[in-house]
Amino acid sequence: MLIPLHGIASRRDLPLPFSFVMAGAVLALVISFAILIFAWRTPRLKRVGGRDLPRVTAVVDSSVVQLIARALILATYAWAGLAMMAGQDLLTNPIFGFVFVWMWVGLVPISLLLGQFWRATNPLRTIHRGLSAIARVDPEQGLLSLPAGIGVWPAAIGLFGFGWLELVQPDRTTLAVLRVWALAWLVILVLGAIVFGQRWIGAADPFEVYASTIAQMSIFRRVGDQLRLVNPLAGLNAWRAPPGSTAVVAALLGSTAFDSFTNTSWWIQTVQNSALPTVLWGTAGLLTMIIIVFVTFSLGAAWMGRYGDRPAWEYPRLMVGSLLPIVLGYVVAHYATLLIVEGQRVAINFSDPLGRGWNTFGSAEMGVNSAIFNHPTGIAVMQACAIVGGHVFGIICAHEKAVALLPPDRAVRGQLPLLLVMIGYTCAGLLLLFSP
Amino acid sequence: MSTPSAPSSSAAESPTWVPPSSPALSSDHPLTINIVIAKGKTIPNGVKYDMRVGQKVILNVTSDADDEIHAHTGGAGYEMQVQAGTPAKGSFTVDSPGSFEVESHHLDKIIAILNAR
Repeated sequence: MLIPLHGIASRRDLPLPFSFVMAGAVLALVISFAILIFAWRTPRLKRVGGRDLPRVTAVVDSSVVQLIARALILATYAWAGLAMMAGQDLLTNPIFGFVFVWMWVGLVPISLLLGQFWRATNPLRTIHRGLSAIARVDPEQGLLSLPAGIGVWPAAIGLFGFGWLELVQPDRTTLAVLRVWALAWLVILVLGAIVFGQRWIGAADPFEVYASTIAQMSIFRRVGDQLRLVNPLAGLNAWRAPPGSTAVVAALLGSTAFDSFTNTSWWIQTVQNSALPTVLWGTAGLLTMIIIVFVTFSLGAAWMGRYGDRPAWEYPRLMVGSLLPIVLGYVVAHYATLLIVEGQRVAINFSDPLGRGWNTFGSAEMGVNSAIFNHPTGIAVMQACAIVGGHVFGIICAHEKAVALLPPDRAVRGQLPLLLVMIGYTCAGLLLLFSP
Repeated sequence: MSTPSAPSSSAAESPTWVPPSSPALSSDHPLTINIVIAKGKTIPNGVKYDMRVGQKVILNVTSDADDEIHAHTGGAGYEMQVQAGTPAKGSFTVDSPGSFEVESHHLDKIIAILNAR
């Protein structure tokens, strides 16, 4: 099988027709200003609300279910690890798709549908718990304690690292390279957990932090001891973002935007004509995108400090939840077809991790159903709806937070720069999909 | 919609003038892409072509070094060997909609992107 130049998918979605870009941008603008001017002036989502689910909670929290879930997930990762360490260095090795499609993209629908499932079943935590049990140590305690202000900053760095692996690392679809990264991930997180306690994993594992962040938009939310079925907007609004969340979200949005940007003619031609190595361009580009998102959002949110009674630097963290629907929109627009098509390929290859002709799960002989690619207009509509829809929910969330944080007569003025920033992200998202 | 044209002087490292490729948008006519690879650069250099599903793509390649041209058109894709100094010709059809890369495998560079509708 030919090794594609960029990543594992051999094809990309067609560019979005420009009419879609215009329509989407106009819709986003109109709805945003309509909400700004006409929407509610007092907070409506002060309480999470929703309905308790005592029976679901009992099942989910039962030690049997927890054990089985963690064991199954650990076994899945172990199987993938087998493919990585002992499989063939070909694109038919499922490990590449496992990491770049199942893990990186799959965690989004998993977290939306199942809440904090990823955190509950994280194999790193399972491994650490196992080691702690053998050493007869409390997994929560480490040798040192992690300062509270660390929040999820380590994960933000980890997300930049994964973005770099996904978009810049030369030869990323070779076993030699992936093994190094996987080993580093395992060691940094499990050793770190031994040093700092299990909290380290929740602070530093890029996948878990990504999943936990997306899970804030899930219909399932744990409030106190109970799982509740909630309005996702109410749940999102109730999220108390840990320190470093702005950097995490900037890394997610920035890396997705950069992924799209590398497909523009300007980028390809400039980088290919340049005497500078591609790795340098890639690193600079990725970092620039992330920094642009971080700075524009922080400034837009900090503006609210002029009208509220908190220091300006507190507002980005208070408002960052409103970016999550936009992140979700970007991820769906860019990676949905990848998950749907390449995800199948991983499932097929998963039956034969070592490339020896096995058919362990019975999927080895199946073909990938790529019928979705025969509907490019449908795909384009889905992409535009994802970006614009993400924007609308983001604006609603930002408005709700603004009226909760600012006095009613200033909520409109205070929100305006942030609104413009979010409109900027949405128009940029649509333009990137147009891929000039 | 991007239309390929004769290269500007900024691509002047190539000594020869490359005739513009035909941006035919009908599946009756093939899309011809004339490719020149010289001194580690390719012409076209990452140009996007609009085309129709079912249309045949013809590649005329001249290179100053041995190379492989790959077109990632889904499935096994298309591969073409090129010898240094010897013009080579190859063709393939694009069977389904999508955006596909045509690359120089040895140089790790995208020559063209085919947007097939």
